[in-house]
Amino acid sequence: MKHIVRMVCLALPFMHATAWGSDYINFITCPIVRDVGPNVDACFYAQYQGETYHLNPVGVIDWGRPQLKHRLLVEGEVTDDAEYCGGKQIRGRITVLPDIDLSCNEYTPFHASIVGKQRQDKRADNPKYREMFAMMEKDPSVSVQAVPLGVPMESAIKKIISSNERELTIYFPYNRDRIDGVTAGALLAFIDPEREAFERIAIQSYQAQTLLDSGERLNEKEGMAAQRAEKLVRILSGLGISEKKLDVVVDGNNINGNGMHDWKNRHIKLILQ
Amino acid sequence: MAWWALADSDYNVRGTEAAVTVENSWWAPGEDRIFPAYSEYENESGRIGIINQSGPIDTKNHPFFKPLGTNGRACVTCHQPSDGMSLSVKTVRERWKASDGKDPLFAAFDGSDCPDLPQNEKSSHSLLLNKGLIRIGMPWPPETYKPDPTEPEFDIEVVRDPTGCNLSEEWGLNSANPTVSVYRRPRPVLNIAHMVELPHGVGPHNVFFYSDKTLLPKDPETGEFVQGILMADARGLTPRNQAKDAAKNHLELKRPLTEKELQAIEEFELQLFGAQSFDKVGGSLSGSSTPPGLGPQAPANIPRGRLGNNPVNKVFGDFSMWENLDSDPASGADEEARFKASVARGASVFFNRRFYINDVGAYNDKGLGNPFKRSCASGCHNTLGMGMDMGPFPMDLGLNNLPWQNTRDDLPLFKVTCHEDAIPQSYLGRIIYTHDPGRALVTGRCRDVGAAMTQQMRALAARAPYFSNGSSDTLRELVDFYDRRFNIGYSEQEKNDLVNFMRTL
Repeated sequence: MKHIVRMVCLALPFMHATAWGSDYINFITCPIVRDVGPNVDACFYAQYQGETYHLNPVGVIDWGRPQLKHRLLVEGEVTDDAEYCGGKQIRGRITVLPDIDLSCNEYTPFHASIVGKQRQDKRADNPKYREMFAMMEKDPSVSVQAVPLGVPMESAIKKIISSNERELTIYFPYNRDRIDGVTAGALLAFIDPEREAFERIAIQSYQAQTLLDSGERLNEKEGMAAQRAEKLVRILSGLGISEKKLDVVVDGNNINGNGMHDWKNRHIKLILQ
Repeated sequence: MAWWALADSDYNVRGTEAAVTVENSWWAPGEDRIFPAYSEYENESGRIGIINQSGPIDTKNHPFFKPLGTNGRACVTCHQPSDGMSLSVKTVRERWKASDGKDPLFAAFDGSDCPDLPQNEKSSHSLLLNKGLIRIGMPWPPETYKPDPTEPEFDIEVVRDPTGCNLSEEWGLNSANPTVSVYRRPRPVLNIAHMVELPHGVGPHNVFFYSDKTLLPKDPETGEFVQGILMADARGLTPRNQAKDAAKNHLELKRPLTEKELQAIEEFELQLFGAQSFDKVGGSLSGSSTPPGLGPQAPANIPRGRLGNNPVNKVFGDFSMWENLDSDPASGADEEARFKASVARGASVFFNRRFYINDVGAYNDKGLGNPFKRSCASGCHNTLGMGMDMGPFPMDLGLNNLPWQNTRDDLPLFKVTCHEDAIPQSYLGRIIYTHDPGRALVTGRCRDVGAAMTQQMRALAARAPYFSNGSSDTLRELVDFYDRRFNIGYSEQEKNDLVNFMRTL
């Protein structure tokens, strides 16, 4: 048994991790853009080890969509969700690598076999909005009146906040300190004293290593955890929270990667106290 | 009756002043004139209407109109009502002719290509006379940028210096006060109330920049978050802030503006609205037979700080009443009907026609993807009734550098070399040749090289040439630039329709 475990461990860096029934993929690639219809936004995919993967991870909003002219770090777990963009869906994170790579410049033209989904306009669910739309024919001035506002990304923000009311974990792209839009919204909700009272906030900032399927280990640059913490402190302070109320702990060591959700190690944890 | 259904005459009866079509359209500093509650000014396409909402003012001692500094200029010198409170090249040339180049507009400090050039010669003012460009001297390295102070991430060299200013011993990069001279168009001081409104309903971006999720800047005086979209490089955060900058750097005022002066300038700017009011072919742009997004009353009444890229608002409202006015050739549709139908088609192209937006620095890399597919309206020109970008941040459209713009012989060329540890400009890299580093001269960040703020789309007919560097002399050239830049493939009719649509705004 011990022998088998050791073999699995040795093999892990060189193949998809299949432990616990999941397929983990970690690789660097050029994204390919695919036209999926005249009125639908283009999507991105990559071919990797004979498989095609859609490169917008499931459920991730405003993380940083792929960019031509840049390579991409993909860290994900393959899901059973319906294919999109002609590829399997993944759960995880992508990071656009900052340096230009002009070889990443491939477009795939539209083909009727792969059609994208129209972006759902949720405003149409609002009766007031529907009413305005209907009134426009009789009264064109309705078209320059304020339409009802939705709270952008409301459900995604609620989901984050309700999962643990006194803790918030912020995940980061590889070697970057940019938080995504949903997390920015969640952060605003999290520190709202009317939601949860607090005296102090503990901030624990980490940086991490990613283990690629090739066996290569990517280490975040020195000082990344500190950089993230400093940016967050500037944000919280700008939002009116005294720096004296912030207890910051920075772990500048790269947490070892194992190829399974390594992106989750690149994070800051905030704890209301 | 709804405001949009009022004709010009209704509006004027309703106001305290009758409409004044101003014949002497040049407002010289310090003149003893009344600035009316509503005034109109001729331009090539028709007339622009300016609503001075608080009523007529005596301009003689008003700090917006008074020569405060040492060069004889006032704010109004470069923000002329006839030019949509900006400054057109046509007006610049007329002033040169009328004053033999002696008007304060041509002040050596920034109304010439460089202060140490012979000021009597027309060629010394070529950028202002040819492209309406004012010299902006930016300190190098940048003054500390807040809220994220940083050392400059790049070095800058002068590659070519046709104006002589960047290599000048007195004014240049190697002078006692190292300065980078760039040349930009004055932005319209019109509909400013829209520009200072924080965005509604796009949270968390009423607090965070869309791009890097740093916080929006704060008004140094009130501590409140502000948009900071008034100036090309977003350095003037508020009208007061911008007025202070302009008083020092364009009026050459040697003292700070007083509180009273600041207050008067701010109040004046925040109640000034305007748009094209009459088109030579399309006729009146107000009244019940006109789309509600047109005419000077529209920006005065349309809610501010709203995202307009939805099927109700369509940014500038509904144009369907002008659709198909030319549908039956047998009915002998007249020129006016054909023009209106063209405007409606242009509005539709603006809102509906999608294309790939690619390689726009500080934009595609905001998280949107490169490329992504949007229309003009759903992409960068999305603010209700105004057409600037609601998710504010300057972006690099490519107007100042290859490969998107031809090299210009009239502008300085800089080589920007970004440090190895800096995040590079996403599509130009770490070594960038540019005529204007844009926002990067404020932040010192490599990723901001070339970035400039999207402008409002009002009063376009009055203020050619277009873009921050004046690179398009006409609206048609502007459309052609976008068509080339994004490989859109507009048809000839679509281009004409877009031009007609824009000239009515």
